[in-house]
Amino acid sequence: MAMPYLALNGVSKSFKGGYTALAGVDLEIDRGEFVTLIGHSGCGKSTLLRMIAGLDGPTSGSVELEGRPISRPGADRGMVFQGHSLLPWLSVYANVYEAVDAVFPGRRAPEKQEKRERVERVLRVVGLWDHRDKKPGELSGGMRQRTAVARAFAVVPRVLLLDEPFGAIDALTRSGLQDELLSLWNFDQETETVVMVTHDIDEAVYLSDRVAVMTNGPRATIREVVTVPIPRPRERRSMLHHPEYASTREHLLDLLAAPGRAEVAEVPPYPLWPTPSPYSGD
Amino acid sequence: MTLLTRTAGQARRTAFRPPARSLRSLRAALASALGGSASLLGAALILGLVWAAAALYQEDLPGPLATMGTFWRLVSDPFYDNGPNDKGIGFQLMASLVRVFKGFLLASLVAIPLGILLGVSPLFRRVFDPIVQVLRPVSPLAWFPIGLVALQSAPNAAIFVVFICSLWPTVINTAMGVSSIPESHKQVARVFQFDRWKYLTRIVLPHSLPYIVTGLRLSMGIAWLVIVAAEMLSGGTGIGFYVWDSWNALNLEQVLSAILLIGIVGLALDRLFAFAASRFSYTEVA
Repeated sequence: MAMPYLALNGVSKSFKGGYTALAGVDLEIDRGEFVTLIGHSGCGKSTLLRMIAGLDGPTSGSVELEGRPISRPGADRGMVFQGHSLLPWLSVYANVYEAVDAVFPGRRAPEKQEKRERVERVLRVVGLWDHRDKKPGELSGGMRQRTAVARAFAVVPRVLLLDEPFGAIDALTRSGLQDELLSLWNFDQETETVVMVTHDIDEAVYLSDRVAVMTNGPRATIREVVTVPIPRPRERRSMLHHPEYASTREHLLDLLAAPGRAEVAEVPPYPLWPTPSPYSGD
Repeated sequence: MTLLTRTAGQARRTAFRPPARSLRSLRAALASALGGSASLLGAALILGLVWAAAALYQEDLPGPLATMGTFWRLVSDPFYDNGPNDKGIGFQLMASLVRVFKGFLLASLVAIPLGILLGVSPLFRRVFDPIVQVLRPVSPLAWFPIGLVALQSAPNAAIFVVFICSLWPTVINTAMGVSSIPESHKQVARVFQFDRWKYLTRIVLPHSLPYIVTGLRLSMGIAWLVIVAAEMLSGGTGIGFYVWDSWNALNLEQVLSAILLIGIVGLALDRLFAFAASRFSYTEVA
């Protein structure tokens, strides 16, 4: 059997006070896959992502990248945080540049030039080059999140981790950001594998190759991994008419609506969900 | 770093203001200036009345008018030097300010790095916190003999007292700023592999700068407070010595004039730091 690229082996996480958030999560992710973790709030999906990032360690089990256990953050993994976490005193350009400069510490002139070109390319792809001198405080929510995505891509990670990247963005802006994410992913040959956390079913179906549905905590685990059988490149509008689209979506809804171990999850009927976020974007 | 530059938006707002608005804002500025000077006048009036009443009650206390005459005589010829016991008020203030800045500068050089260490390391904080808590409430004048013994010079002992007393606000505020770095900024530093230097210069210092400036502002206030007392002990020159010397000469008009001047200089110093603080602020976005 071939070694999996990114593997979660029996990952459990307990917190002080005896609360067990995750119990025995197994997941294997291939190189080049876009995998989404979906589940209700508090199911521990963000904790799983943080473990892959190396920001957090499992209580038992292991997280391995190419067979090597992950113990701390590394340049091979980039991350977009829930809430952009840009540095408010740095401009858009500097926020991206400082990350690139930290990951590639070369001090010689051609190396610096290369870094600057890299930052410019990424900022142009997300349409922020004209806004490069602005501070995060002067940007809309959508632009901030775009900067965060650009920063994550700019460090050329092999695995990109997205923690509810567009959760606080209004629905219209969100779909634009999703398209930009896909174009960045296609544009960047080095960044092959993406792991995303979301609670938005449509976002998961549109973006992912596979969707791992989690049960509710405590002692959350993966209920089922659903393959999205819609070929790429996907187009938002025509995808809605794809024969497999409705059934995949329906199946994910059923999985999320099924009673968890602790409680019965409540999922509003189809037209209400996902609801537009109350936060304002662009 | 571009911490000091104004934002493009601000620059634009001032550059392309339409004439109607500029007229209105001019009127508003005039009105606020008038209002400001009116309230200043009112404050001076109240102070003057209370003072005059106090002077009537206690005849040894010179009234506001008599004091104003002396005040005017002092500030109209601030820089004369008739030997060690008769110098202009300007020279006295200068001597005090130089000491304050020396002590304050030395204190800042020690306090900012110390505060950063305290903020970064919980262990360091646990060890140093009792020391800071015990030394901080000590009266400035209690340090004076220590300064005399250590430095063998009265003027330098005054600087030492300023140094010791203006350490604490900066240390405490810097530590508070550094220890309040949001978890999200720390995560950014970890995920993007910031080294120590980058972490210090791109996250710790920019985040803490408003706190540090506030600490410096409080320290400067204390330094100016302390120098008057220290110079009463050290003698020689300085506004504190001048107050004591005037008291010994039973010239209360001079004492009161000096008090006014001390207040005005202190206010000016505070405004200077408030201005600096406004330049170093940033908008934290959620």
